[in-house]
Amino acid sequence: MRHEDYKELLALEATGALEAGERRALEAHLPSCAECRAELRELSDAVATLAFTVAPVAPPARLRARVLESVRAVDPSEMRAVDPSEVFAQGKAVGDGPNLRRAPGAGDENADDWRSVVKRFGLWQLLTASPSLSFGAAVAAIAFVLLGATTLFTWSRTRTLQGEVARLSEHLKESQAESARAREQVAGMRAQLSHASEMSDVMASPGALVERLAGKGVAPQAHALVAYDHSTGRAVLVASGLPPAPDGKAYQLWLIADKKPMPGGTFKTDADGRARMSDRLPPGMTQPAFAVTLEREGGETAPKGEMYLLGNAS
Amino acid sequence: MCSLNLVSGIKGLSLARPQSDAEDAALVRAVAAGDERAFASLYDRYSSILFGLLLRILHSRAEAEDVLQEVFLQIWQQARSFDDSRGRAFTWLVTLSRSRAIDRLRAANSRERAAQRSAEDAPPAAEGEELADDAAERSERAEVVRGALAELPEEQRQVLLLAYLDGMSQSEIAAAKGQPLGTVKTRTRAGLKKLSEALRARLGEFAV
Repeated sequence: MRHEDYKELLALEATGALEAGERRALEAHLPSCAECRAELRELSDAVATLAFTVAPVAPPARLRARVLESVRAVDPSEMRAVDPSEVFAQGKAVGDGPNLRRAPGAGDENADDWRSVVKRFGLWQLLTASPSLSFGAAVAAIAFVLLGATTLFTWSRTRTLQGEVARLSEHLKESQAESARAREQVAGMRAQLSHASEMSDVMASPGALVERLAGKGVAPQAHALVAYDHSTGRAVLVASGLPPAPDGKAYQLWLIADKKPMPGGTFKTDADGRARMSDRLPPGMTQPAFAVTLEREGGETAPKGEMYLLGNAS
Repeated sequence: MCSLNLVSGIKGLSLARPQSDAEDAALVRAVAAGDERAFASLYDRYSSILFGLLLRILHSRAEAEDVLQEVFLQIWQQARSFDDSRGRAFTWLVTLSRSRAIDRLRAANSRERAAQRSAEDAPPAAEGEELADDAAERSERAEVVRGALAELPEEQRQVLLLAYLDGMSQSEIAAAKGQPLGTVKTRTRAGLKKLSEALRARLGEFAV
């Protein structure tokens, strides 16, 4: 293909509309053509702005906590550098997805990887042992014998290594399972710690307000504390004595200002009826009140369910 | 060969807020170094816009939440591979999100289902849900993009949105619209070039 032909492909690549064969051809061309790279960058930046035409929707607060917690469970040593063309390539699975440690099963894939590496290594040995034609027929004959010997050697060596790899991957599986358990514990403790430090951060901020919430008729024994920083909107809730939320339901925090309830995050309780949540609420409310209702799990934009907790400022 | 005006054109494309592109790139580099706070800032800055995009493609809150989590894990793991010579950090985030969402759509072969769901489970309106801090900046950007998009002829705009936001292949678009494949490809190309030029032309009004 000529340079002009590749230029024709750039817009389709940026849009994610290129067929696999054409994409491979383009990827082979790009490293040698600064002009096409520059144009592809410009078109990719342009097409990505289409995301701005879609109305933004805030994901539920619990998702933020889940995301932040899940990355803590990923060992930094597992963070990988990936070929950038892979990362920017459109319309295909990128890499093999989040590399969270899945203890069982992961070892098998590793064993396969290793086998192919070992096999490739064998092939490399063969290639380096293969003769150059310029040495003539005699040399070639000797080399052929050597080649045969190398092949045999490589073959038996490969089998030994395969056995070794299988044993190692067995070990690896066990220790992965162990470290996954340890990491879960650490993640749990970190979450508690980060919550505690978030709470003290919010309470120490100059715009901090703390409101005590009392249980309503449905849960008279429940109570909670909400700390809210009106300069940033950061809020932390600690609750106890709440009955467990039924399946598909969750508690939701509301900030009430001028009698208008604004939605906060949703949360569930632990087995003891306790809950903790960090949230982002609209900032700038200097005389807020807080309430907690039981809503559907994704949260509502206006309260519909029964009220469980209400602040004494309300 | 790489002409000079192309290079300056690329720099010029950083939409509306050039310094926010630099901030984004700095955040991604900090994430690459394992900085959890930078990661949280990146999430706070872009989760709403990416979640909106995922809802638009998948038409399912549950799936959009799944994919958003996957995307941010991927960002955490692959931030080191981000190369700002290939596009803005925002482009990288959008590309990752879109690819994953469309993979999921194709894997489940569920575009028909998605279309059905879009009728019954339309994403809620954005009013009042987004974080106040960035809302103004975002709607400013949305204005710029909508304005640029409005300059495109209707048929170019349509194929571009069908391909990018609905993940339809060029032959699917051709079949759906009863047009020759070549025409669809030409319109996609012309549309994206025009959008890119229109965005660049609009930068003058918004440069900080």
